[in-house]
Amino acid sequence: MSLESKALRRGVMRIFQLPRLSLSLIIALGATLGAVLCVVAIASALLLNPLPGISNAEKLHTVKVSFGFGKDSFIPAFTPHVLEHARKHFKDIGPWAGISTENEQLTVDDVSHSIIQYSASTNITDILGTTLLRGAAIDKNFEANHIWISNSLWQQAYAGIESIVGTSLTLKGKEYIIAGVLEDVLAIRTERKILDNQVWLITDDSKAEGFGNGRIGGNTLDSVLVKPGQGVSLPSEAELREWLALYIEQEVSNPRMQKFLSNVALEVKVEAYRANFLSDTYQLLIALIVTVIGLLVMASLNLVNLFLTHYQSRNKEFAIQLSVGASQWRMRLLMTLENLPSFFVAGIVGLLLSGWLIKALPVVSDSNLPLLSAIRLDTTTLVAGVLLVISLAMLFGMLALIDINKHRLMDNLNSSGKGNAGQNNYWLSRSLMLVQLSIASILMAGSVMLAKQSYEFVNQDIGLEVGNNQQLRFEIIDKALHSSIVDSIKSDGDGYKPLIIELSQAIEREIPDSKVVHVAPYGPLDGAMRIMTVNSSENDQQKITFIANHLSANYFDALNIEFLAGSALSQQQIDDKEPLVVIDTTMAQTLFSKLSYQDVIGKELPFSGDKEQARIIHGVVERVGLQREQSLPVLYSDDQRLFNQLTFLVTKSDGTAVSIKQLRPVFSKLFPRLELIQADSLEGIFLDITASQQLNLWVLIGVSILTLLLAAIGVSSLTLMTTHQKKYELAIRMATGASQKSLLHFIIKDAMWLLMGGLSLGFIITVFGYDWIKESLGLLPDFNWLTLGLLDAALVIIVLLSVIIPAWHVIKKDPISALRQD
Amino acid sequence: MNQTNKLLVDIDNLHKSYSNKQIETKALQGVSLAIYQGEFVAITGPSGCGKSTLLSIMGLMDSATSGHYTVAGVDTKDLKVDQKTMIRNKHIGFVFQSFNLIDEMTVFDNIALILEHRKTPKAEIKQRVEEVLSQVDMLPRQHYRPNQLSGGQQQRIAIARALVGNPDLILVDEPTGNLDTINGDKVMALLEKLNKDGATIVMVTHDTRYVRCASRQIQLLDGEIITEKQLEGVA
Ligand SMILES: Nc1ncnc2c1ncn2[C@@H]1O[C@H](COP(=O)(O)OP(=O)(O)O)[C@@H](O)[C@H]1O
Ligand SMILES: [Mg+2]
Repeated sequence: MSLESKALRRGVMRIFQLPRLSLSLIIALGATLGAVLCVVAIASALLLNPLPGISNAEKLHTVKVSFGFGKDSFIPAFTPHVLEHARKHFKDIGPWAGISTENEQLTVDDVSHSIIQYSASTNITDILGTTLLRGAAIDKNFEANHIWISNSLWQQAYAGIESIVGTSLTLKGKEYIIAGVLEDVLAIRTERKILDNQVWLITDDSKAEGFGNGRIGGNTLDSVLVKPGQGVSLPSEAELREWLALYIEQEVSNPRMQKFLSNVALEVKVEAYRANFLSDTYQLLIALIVTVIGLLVMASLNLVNLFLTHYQSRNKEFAIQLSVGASQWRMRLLMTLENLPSFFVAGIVGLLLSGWLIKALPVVSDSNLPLLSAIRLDTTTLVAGVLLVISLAMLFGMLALIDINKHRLMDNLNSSGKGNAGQNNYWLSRSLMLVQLSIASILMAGSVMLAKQSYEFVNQDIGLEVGNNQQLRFEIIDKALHSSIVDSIKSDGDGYKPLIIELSQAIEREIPDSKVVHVAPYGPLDGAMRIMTVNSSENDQQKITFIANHLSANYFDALNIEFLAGSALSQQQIDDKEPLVVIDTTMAQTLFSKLSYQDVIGKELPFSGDKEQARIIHGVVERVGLQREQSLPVLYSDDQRLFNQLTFLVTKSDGTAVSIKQLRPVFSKLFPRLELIQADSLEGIFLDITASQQLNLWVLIGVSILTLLLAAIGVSSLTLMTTHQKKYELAIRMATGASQKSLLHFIIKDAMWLLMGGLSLGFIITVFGYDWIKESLGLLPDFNWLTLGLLDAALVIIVLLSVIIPAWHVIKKDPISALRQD
Repeated sequence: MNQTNKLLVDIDNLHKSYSNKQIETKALQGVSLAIYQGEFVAITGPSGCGKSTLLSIMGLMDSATSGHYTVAGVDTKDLKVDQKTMIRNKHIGFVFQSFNLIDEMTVFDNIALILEHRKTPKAEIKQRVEEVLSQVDMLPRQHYRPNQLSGGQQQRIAIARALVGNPDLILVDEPTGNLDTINGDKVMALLEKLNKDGATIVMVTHDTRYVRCASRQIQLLDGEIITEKQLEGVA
């Protein structure tokens, strides 16, 4: 057998015979590689691999134009009508297409499927480069009653039957003919959850309506794509602004609206398709990459110490090999080969772990990561894994001769461990430990601060009690019904009233022990809300932006929202259309910064909105909702605005929750012109909203524990190494009368400067680097001294224990025996 | 001695000092020496006079502070680590006072190492290793591990290892230092026989009884050669 194959065989044996080395290696490196490869797989799916369903991605650009209201609220300007105008205006650039998304339920053969509905321009598949699997391609010659389904939906709902094209399906009460099957398209940027069960509806943009009725924000497109021709340059920001001004001038008929839109702030952005798709994810990706690199460095540094200790015990063997004629490179090759088997096992553990992590990703990241189903252990990841394993095995092979003075081999052969062998490594491993502890304290600081943020989000005070309240949301899917209501409102008729009364009665009848307390477009915890901007009647220059909510007699009571002044209106007052409103504290502070809440009661609202008569403030309530510290002012008023969504807040006194599965068929029979699109308890809604943060919290706690564990393992193995190196010194000290306690003191003193050095280095870097990192990584919360202080205190304790425990272990084991050996 | 033989070792004004924490030890202070092929040189002197230091430098396991050392026609002054390794592998066999065998390997593998590092074909390695093992009378023990053998046996393995590559020069440090008289005599007889068969040997010893086996004696004191004498006609 050649030396090479012997080394390999020795490496295999080492896995079993040297558990201290190989097991630590396999565990530490395996766990870290698991995390690393998982991130490599994510990065490769998002950054390198073709976007599923979009083969033209590299040729496409997205055009984003939004109206800005306030600091963080933007409304997209593009609707099909606006898009059609842009298409004509910029016709020389290339084809344009728009797409919007909706989450829906589709029932096929009595089985309900969650789907995403794409509504897109008729040239969408051409532009995206999506493959047609069956039937006819999306084309402008099709009538709007045609629908295309995705491959997954075809497989899951229709079992992939051949005769799918030409059959019909019913979606939101409307019948469509299936015209074709498209591959799944997963890389569309939207706020909604992308599912692989998909349907495609086509919109003829040239027949779309404009802003006519004076409302923006409805019917907007999630993405507008343009595929510029060869050598054609994209529209500049200035050109886009110019064009939009032209659009407003030509197409917005309402003069108030025209004036408003001409003055509102605009955000304009043209981006490559993939960059646009990933823009929210880049930060997360960078954070993940930084974290796993940190962990990998820590794990490697840990292993360096282990390997140095191991090689130290073999120095004599290496010196003999060199003295009989082994070249340095041959020795390093042999040691690399010897390392390979255990590194290989660690690699396999890492791959298995990352495979498992990738499976768990959908649960962990929820909607934070796009393209979840496209993330897998691809070739890139496997190659990265193999390369990492081989280069680490080599790197550690290189370490083998580090402690040998090649020019004075005799020294290595003669010293039997009593001398100062290992002086070289002494400083090396100490500096590495310093680096490792700094990395640990930085990683911990980052993840603990993020965890604190997630914790605060999950446990935030929303200012209301969810109680037994349920939320039922209906959508008016019948166009005729919708327009008759709109007409009724325009002619000062009853508007939604009859429908609301009818629905409320049905709800209270069909759901046991239920009482409807509130009807509005949106629920109290919904991310969507109706935002209005009005001019102050006192000062024409001053604009007030607020959230408009409906006013009900029992709403505040049902949710236990506290009144700081005044009171709720009675049902009688509401029925009598008394001109009274309730505002929240933010609104009170915005409107009357100098008055107390008590003094605000009875004041007139300093703006009119659409109402003719002045409205009097009747009560001031606590701010409510998610992250309410940052919320806009809220006005609760009896204000019938146009909406085709009715959200009912229902108190259920028996404490049980409603289920959409049960209620959907009941209501679709009773109200065929409506669709029940949500039925959930407020508590369930809150849990859903906080679920991803809750999981973030667990992931971050996991990272912190892994970091702490690596630091503890590192420190304790270094302590073992130094006590081993100083075995003779310890033994002689003991032989000459040193007590065990004083020996411990000796070891701790030796370790102390190192720990303090590493931790303070990490502390300093964290303090000074935090804001700098935060700038490029917006997801980090604000710096918090208390957190960092507590964290470093915890780290000091853990590290100290990692010194004391192994040191005490060695001291108790009678160091003097070292003197009696050989 | 037959001075027409090839010059193997040429040492000229060699100095070696160790400096450890302010204390400087002058181990060798201007040693000059020439050794020809076929000689059996004994280096003697009291403990600490620099014998091992001189031998280590001759074995390229340590380097001199100043002076020249040429072995097998190669000036060792500016050699790289791996060049020295190659010379050790091809031209020098070293027998350590403390044997320095690798306990994790069998006797056979320990000896085969030198040939393996030369990339000698397998069959040839086997033949040659068995040959030297029988030369030192240890063939039956080839599958043992060094720590399963007695001191004298280990010393004979160490000598076999030094022999296996047919080196031009065999350096032996205190071959009997760790052995009892019976084993010491056996080892000395072996060295004598090897020299008879043509090997050039330089041996360090403080045991004057064994000096008579050599053809030339060099006495060191405080890092300097004080006497040098030819020993003729000893059997
Ligand atoms: N590695 C070393 N570091 C410092 N001094 C050394 C070292 N090796 C040998 N010496 C010193 O050099 C001198 C010669 O040592 P050595 O050659 O081992 O003597 P000998 O083998 O003749 O007993 C001694 O004084 C010894 O202390
Ligand atoms: Mg000596």
